Amino acid sequence: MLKGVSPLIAYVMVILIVFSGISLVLLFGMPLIERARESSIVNEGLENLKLLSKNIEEVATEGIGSLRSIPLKVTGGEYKINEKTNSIEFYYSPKTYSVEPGFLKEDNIILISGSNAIAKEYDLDNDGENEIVLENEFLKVGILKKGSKENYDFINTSKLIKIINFKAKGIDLIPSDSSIFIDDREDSSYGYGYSETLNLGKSSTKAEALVHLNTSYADYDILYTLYAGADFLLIKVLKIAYK
Amino acid sequence: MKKAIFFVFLLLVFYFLVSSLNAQSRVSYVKFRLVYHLGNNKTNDFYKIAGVNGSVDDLNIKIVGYPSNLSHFYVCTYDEEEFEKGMLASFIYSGKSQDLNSIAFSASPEEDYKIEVKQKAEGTNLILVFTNGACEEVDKKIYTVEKYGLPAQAFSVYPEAGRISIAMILRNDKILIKGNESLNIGTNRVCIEYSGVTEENKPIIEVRKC
Repeated sequence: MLKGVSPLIAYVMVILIVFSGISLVLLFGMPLIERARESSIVNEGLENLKLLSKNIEEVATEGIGSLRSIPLKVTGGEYKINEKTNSIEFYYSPKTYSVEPGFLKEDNIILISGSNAIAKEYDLDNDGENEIVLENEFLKVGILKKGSKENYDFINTSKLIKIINFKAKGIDLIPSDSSIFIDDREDSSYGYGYSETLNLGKSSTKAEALVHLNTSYADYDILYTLYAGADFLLIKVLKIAYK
Repeated sequence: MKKAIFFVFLLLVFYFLVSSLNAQSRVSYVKFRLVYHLGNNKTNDFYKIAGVNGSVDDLNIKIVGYPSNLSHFYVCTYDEEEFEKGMLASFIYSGKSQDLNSIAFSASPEEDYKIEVKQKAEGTNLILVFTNGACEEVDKKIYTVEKYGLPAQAFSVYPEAGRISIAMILRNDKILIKGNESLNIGTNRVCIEYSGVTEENKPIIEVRKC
């Protein structure tokens, strides 16, 4: 009859139990902890942008020269101040935190979840010239590629959107005119400038092309944005400066 | 002599006052145009604008909608004959009704479809949709677009939930942001400074690390 367990076996059993416990915690607990950490980074991103938005609005209601200095805690993600797109952006790629692909707008903040938008440069419409191609799961949008910051080229806005390809069916929409006019002025729809990709070759939540145009009526920028998971293109005119 | 100087001074003050008032009261508009066709012919193509929907075929159509007579701010066309399950193209104005001037749609036997959306230049908001289905797909999402400026998801086709990245974009169309810096992990001190105004009288706000 067994009167007791030898101290050595008992010692081994205790160690085994302790290690099993630690393994279980690591196996099931760590992903939960990691998810909670990633969730807090996402929430921090939103709160930081809200704080920036509130302070920017407050300063904008005051006079020239007014200034705020605010502390901003950043535990993860990437924050960029982007004057080209007139925005402040937060990017984060969580490993365990899951969220449905989609879009949401809260006051002045747009939230996008997805990761398959990319900007490339190649000849999408086979006309012998490279386009700026904004691509995601559903669409390829070919934007006229012309000029550079150093060398402006003639651009007519009527030809800016060259082609939109619906990938699943291989169907093209080829606009014969995609003009933009300021104050109904014909001479505002063409001029000299350049077009460029803003995040070339980087798979992200959005792919963007910016066109800068100097016309005889006004100078302005046009921003084309294709979000990941979107079957639509956003078009914005920014920074109009009248002659 | 003193009177002459005073007179010139008054003229200058008057000129600056008028210039400043002009700049403040200037309401500028941006018009977006899209001319296109869906498939090879217009037979059994349909359009929808200002609560009017109908078949295009070989008709001459010209409709202009204004915020007062539009229930929703979009023009949509679709073709279910040439494309299985249909294809639609649509221009949606996603801003405030008071900033929209007009939405127009025209078609004729000889010409492609023409959509024009005219809106205030401050904070242009335009969505160009090209996707599967008929204009009901736009109808289903238009409430979200009107409320939030964006549909919650794609209009017709849905992405599979794979590896997801998250982006948040802060943009205020009434303000011009200046700066190109990135923030680091840790505690950053950010300075927000009113550094000037644009020609449209928008505040220029400089955002930088300090």
